[in-house]
Amino acid sequence: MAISFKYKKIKRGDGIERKLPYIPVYIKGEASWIQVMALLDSGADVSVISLDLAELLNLDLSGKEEFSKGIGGKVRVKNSKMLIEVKNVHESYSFEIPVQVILDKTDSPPIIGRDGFFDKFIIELDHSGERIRLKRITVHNITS
Amino acid sequence: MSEDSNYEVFIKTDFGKYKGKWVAICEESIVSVGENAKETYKDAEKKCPNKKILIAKVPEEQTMIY
Repeated sequence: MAISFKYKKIKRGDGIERKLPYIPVYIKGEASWIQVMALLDSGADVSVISLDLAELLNLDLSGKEEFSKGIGGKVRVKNSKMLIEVKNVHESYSFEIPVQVILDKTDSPPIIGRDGFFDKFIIELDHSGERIRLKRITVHNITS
Repeated sequence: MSEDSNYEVFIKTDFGKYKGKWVAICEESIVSVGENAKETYKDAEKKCPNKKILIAKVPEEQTMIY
């Protein structure tokens, strides 16, 4: 079985409609579970969220401030952890993943990066079919 | 109403007029829009008590992903 989601179509500034792999996830810090749309990004080492979302989730922000570099430039971040749950009516998987909280102003949506997430699923980005499929990795489908 | 009805609204809705904003969806409707995730969610909770709420950040037209 796999959990399947649809691509989200968003028109960019160039007028071209782009298909983006957003998935609904439940996230929990010290507060209760919050359902958030997050962008699945295989190019990101680690998941990233904005400070206002981290405050809503009441994430632990006691760590030291660091800098993180990406193609968008350099931003101030704090490293934290959050519980994440992915589910549909048939399947539900939850686990803790590392997350970088961007302290500077950002227009970035929540991003699910590779660390702690991409090793849990076989992830299929069916761009032409406009579907994202997550198949939980089990002992039976891990190949050496 | 299905469990994923808020998600279906997110997928189908054109959020063009909410670029750069947080939106909160509850019972298949956009119930709150704002600049701040926490404020937007708390406002949605007041308008939609004890119901499932989904929040999403609508990207700006030229948002650069880090």
